[in-house]
Amino acid sequence: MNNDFITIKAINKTYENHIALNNVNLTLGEGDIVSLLGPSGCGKTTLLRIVAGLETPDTGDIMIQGNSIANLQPEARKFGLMFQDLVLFPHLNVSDNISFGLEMQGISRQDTKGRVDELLSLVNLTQLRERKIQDLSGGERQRIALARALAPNPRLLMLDEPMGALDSHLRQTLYIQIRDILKNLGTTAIYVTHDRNEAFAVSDYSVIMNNGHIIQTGPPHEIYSKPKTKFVAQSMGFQNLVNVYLTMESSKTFTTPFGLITIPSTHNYLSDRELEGTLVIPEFSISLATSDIAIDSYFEGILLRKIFQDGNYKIQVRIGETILHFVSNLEINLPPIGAPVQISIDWSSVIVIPNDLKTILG
Amino acid sequence: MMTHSWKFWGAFLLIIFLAFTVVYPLISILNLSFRGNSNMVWIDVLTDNYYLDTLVFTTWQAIASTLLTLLIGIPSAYAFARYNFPGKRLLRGLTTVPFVMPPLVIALGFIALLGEKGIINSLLQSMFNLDDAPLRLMNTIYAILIAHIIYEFTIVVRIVSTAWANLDPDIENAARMLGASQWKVFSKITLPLLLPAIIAAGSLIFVFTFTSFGVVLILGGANYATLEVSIYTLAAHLLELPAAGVLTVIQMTITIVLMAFYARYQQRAALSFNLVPNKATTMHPRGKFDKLLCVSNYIIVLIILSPLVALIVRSLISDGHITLTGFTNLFSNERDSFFFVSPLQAITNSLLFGACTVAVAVPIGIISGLLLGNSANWRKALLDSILMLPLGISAVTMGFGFLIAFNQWGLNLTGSWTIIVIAHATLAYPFVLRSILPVLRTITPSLREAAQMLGASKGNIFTRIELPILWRGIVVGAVFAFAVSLGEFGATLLLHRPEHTTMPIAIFRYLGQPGESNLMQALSMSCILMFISTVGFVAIERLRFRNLGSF
Repeated sequence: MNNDFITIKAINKTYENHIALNNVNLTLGEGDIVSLLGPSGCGKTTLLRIVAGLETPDTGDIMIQGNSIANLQPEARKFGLMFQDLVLFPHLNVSDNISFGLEMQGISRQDTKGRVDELLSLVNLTQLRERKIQDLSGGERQRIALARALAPNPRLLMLDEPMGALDSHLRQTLYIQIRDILKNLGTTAIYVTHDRNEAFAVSDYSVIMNNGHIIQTGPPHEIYSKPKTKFVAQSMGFQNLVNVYLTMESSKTFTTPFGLITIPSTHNYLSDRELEGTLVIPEFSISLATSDIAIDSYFEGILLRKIFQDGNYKIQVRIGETILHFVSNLEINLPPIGAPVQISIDWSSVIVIPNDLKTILG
Repeated sequence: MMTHSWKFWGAFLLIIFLAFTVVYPLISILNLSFRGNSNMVWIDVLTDNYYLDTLVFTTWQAIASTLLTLLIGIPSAYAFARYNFPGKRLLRGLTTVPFVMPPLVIALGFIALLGEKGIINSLLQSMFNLDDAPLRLMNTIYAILIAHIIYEFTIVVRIVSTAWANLDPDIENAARMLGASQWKVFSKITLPLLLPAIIAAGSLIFVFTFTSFGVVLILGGANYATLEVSIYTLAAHLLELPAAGVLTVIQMTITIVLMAFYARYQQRAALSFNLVPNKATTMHPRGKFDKLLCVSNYIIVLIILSPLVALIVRSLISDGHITLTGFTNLFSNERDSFFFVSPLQAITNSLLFGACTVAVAVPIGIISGLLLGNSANWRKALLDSILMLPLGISAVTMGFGFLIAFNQWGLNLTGSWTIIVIAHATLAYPFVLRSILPVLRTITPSLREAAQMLGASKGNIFTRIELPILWRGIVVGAVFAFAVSLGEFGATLLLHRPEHTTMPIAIFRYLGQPGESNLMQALSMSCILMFISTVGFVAIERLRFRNLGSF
């Protein structure tokens, strides 16, 4: 597979003193589905609009198979965009919406009809062919918008938070369908969202953005297991983030609220000087201590809350000033709220992230 | 889609049009009232008891009409907003029918129903063997007030009941849970929340009844004259132009202040509370009181429509017999020398003026719409309110302004058919603008971008997206313009020459003549006018995009 089908190179964009995009670089292989994940205002929609040609970057280039398309008008780029608010054409019915892009290419009426049928069956809405847009449900509109964007066979399909206003149950079924459809067609796609589960389910790899920067790029499991910054760790849903300092004695020993702790998996970049960092303690590495473990390997805390959820207890324990969140299964008899508890932490699965962003971005 | 020069020429054309049709006539009126750089005319008018009485009468009849309409309208608006009852949508729609009719049609309907030779009097006479008509409502203040209520009722239903329907009942429930009695809830919660809508409706009704012309002229007779009627009499019959100018300035000041009031509260009515979909706020009537309110809505609609029904019935009955002579005379009678034109010619004139009005008002409306465009800023808001000015200027004011403005400085358009078309177009284009603007605003930048991403060029976007979407708005606007021209009475009465007689003018002339035959022709002509207006407004309702373009 072509590894640099689409190249987004050194894009900068500034709006009235606000930096929307700061030196953004990204390459997509043919058939890749990439998700752009980040909070609203992080620049992901701006990046899409620049790639689409609806906005002009201050500097930078966009290339397809090595050829720059930066000077092409949006309609000449042969890219597709599924808008956040879908913007189906209100005066056209379902099939006319889908065939619009085909007609713009001058495709014959006969071929257009066949293609519309094909797409309608692809999104499983064959029966809605002649329906008015106003009479469609939210989920149906979403799928028609996808069919419309796919109809002209775009070289790159961009989807800007396409699940916008849908409820969470419908979202889940729909984004899984979208991935299946895109993969079946082999479409190269950029999928913008602020929901990490959606991003991970749909895409081959994710791009985490914040404040106009790309912070981290990689397959979902990699980003999850090795978040590069505190921001990425927060985006991944980690709740136990504890400030720590590297000690002088050892390159893997830290001053933590729990005392001096040695973290085996610490990366080398922390080794050369005293550094402030963030300890990321995954929920699964914390457990309530049972009586048979050594006395010096657990920590004494106070049980703050227990919330029954999804078949387990979500537990909050305070140790000194630090509150830790974790999950406990049902079998363990929990003490009452406010009572002392002992917990143990499996340090081998704990990650340390330097707080100094420059260390990473170089 | 719009290049710079396009915008520039559009704005240029619009400014010329507005300067000619709005600014220049208004300045001419003002200038006339201060003729000879003195305020003599003003002092004369303001110290003359006749004029002061007219001003007082105009004001109090407008206040009385407004309060009565609100008094009857608010409970009805409540029932429309909160209860489900069979035929509610249709009923609500029917309340609008009198409002969209030319005032002359309503006045004639009133004569057909309650006049001395009207249906009710005939029935009473034959039932009780009376020689004289027992009900004598013509030329009384009651006739004027009732006609105004019938005419303006829909404004309360439209504005207040819409606000009420969108008001979340849980706001009221929250107050009840906090210990408020039903009366407290109404006075402390519901009423304050609805007040902007009530004030908006009230000020609009006040403006309309304050400048009421056709209804007062025909139903008030010689006994009652509003400022509008006085301006007409002074200008057309007594040729006291400066005095007419002073009255016009007074009337215009009051109406513009109230229109501003309306605009302000109309906005607040839309903004001030939790908007929830109508469906969630309606329920089935349960108690006796609820049912009574719903039933009374049926009765109110029946009463509102009764003049129009009476108009049809009465135009087919003469001296107790069913007859078509009213209609056949319209098409065969060429002898009416006092008209100079045959009734058929009047109908043709009306249709021609309507078509010409459409041809002028629609382009003006489209240009204004495109200039106002998608976004809103203070400059556009200002342009918008200037463009809406003709709605606040009464028809007689417009006619009077044209009469003096286009008969000076070597400019002489008075008596021409062009002046009537321009007057009609000026009164009509705000309706075109209001029909187009909401549709135009649905064409968002992202809609254009969506088409662009699918490969559409700028030309394609215009022909395939913008024009087809806009088209219905344009057609609705055109029908509006046609209907406004067709029913226009006040301005035409001042500006027309006999050969330019339109249907409303012909109706008025027939009424001025004695005898059953003339009455029959007036009634028949009104029926035709009513029929054409109805067709127009049914077309508008069908063509209009859902929830767009309402006033």
